[in-house]
Amino acid sequence: MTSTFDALLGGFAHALSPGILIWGFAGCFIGTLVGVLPGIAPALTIALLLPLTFKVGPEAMFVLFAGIYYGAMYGGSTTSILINTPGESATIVTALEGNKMARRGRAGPALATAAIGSFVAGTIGTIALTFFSPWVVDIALSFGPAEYASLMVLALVAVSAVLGNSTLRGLIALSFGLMIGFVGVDLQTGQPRLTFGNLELLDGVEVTVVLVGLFAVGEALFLAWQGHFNRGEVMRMSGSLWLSKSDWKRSWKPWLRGAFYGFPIGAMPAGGAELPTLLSYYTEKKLSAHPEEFGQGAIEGVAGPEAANNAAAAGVLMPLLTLGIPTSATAAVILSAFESYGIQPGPMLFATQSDLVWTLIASLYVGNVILLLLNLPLVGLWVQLLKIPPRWLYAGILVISTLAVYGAGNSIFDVGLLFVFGLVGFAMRRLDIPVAPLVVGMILGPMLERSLRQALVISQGDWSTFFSRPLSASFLVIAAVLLILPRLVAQLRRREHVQTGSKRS
Amino acid sequence: MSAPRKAFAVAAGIAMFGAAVALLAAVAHIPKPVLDDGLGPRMLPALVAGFLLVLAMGFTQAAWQGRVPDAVNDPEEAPDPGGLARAGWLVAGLVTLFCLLAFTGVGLAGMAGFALFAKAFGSRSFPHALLIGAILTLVVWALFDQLLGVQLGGLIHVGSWRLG
Repeated sequence: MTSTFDALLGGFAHALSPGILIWGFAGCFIGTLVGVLPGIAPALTIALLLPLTFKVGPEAMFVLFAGIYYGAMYGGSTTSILINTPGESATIVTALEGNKMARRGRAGPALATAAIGSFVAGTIGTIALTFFSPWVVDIALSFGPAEYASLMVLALVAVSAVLGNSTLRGLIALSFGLMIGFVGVDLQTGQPRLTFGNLELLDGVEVTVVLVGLFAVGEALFLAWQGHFNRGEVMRMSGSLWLSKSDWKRSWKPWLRGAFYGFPIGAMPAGGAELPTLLSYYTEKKLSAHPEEFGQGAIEGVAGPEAANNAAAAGVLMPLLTLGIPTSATAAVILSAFESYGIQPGPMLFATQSDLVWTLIASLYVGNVILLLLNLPLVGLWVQLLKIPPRWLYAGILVISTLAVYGAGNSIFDVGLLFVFGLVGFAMRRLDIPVAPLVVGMILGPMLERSLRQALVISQGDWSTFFSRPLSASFLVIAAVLLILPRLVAQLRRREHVQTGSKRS
Repeated sequence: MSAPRKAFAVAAGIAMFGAAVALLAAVAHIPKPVLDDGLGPRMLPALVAGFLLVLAMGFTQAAWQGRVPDAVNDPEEAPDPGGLARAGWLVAGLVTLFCLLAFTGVGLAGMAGFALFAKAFGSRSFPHALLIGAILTLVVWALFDQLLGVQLGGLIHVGSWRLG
């Protein structure tokens, strides 16, 4: 316990030094910006900044990325309150009540409870991350390659089969992602794989190219095709930016409950931020003294879900830092940044790169303070951003992303590949095929293969090692259950439906 | 209410199937390694590509039976009239950007690309869009190439003539 405190204090000393603080501030600023702007996801932003890893040291870089990640969560709430289209998927619920509040002239209190709730829950989440991580690390240190391989299988199955609406479509995205990850020279045997004779593919497919193709080009193509971009109506700022006594009274419990949903669910392999925000929303609706206000702009319905999604953001960082397992697209991109520094996230990170880890964690506390200051008093500035006409906004995103991809590799081939992934992204968006499994699979696939190989070397080629080691076997059993359970439940429900249906007829 | 449209989903399923076949063929071309490490470079890609082939068949069948959701059939998500034209302008922008980038440098490519993208999002004045595109591209080029040292090449080059 004391050692955790000492390490954290050391982290604060680093995080507050001007050389790091400025990156944290830049991250929070950029994060809020992309959170506010519809059409730019934090994963995309971090992918566009990946080439900077060749120029900037790891501490500054990860502090920047963490700022963007947290900042996008704060900024997203501004958009969902002031326009009825949410900026980030995790803030859909906020749009329900927040936008109604803004319509009734209470935009100020809605923004305030979202920002303060994000601060409270983000800080609680970060405290949980601080004190639970060393504990997870202790357990993870006993993992061998077999346990890691099984854990990765579990994470991949969880991301594909549990999130999203269909196991089939999730697994398709996952398989494509894994195949993309295999492209290039196999590091173990030196054999080129799946390059189709193309020299540019020997180094593998650039993460940036895939991410920008799916998230920027594909999304823009879908939005242009859909043509709904002019429908979002920007609400005027209204009401005081400070909470009244009754607003405080109605907000603080939802903040805390949101945080307690958000962190643990965010930390689970298939957690994500959507589930805790929904749970928080329905809980608040049930517990509220004013249930009739829900759907009309109830402050609890903004306070709880906003808190939940920020705590979940902290939760997602736990498996990433302690196990090296990404559970969302953004986490997967951050993992690939670790790789490009040659740093292996996982339990050893806390031993070998302890300065880096604790600086990063300390900067999360600092970032929450910066974000509260950036988001409340400066909200007028962010509102102006929402007034950029969509035609300039999306055209600008497309040009900037394309030039960034071109500049990163100086390869016209990469630009062509970028546009191909754009078309793929459009089809995926249209057919409701989730993107996260593809991204996580692409980055985790090669790591899974490495662990499998190490495990097989240790067991002298005996595959039963994955089932005979108890921890490894339990991971695989959970993965199998996750894969089968949703189908089973659906089947049972269908049968029940048929029975009740026949009774009725 | 007309019957739900499924052609796009079926086409996507067939494309997936084709991709899976191509990937399996590519896996077969991976040379056998000298050293056997119990897994080899082929095993995982072959497994995943085979799995993908099965999934693609499942997807195509589901699409054929109309069980794959397509945004076109969703009352909330369905496109406004003129969707193909807007998407067409955007794709035209991508193609123009790609070609000009290869042959004339960042400047003209960014400018023309921007104007076509803006058209896809309902811009009515082409000269206006070109002007904003030119300013944006110049700013991006100055920031990336001159300030951050990301190599974007000359701003405009046609043949041996070069600017920036």
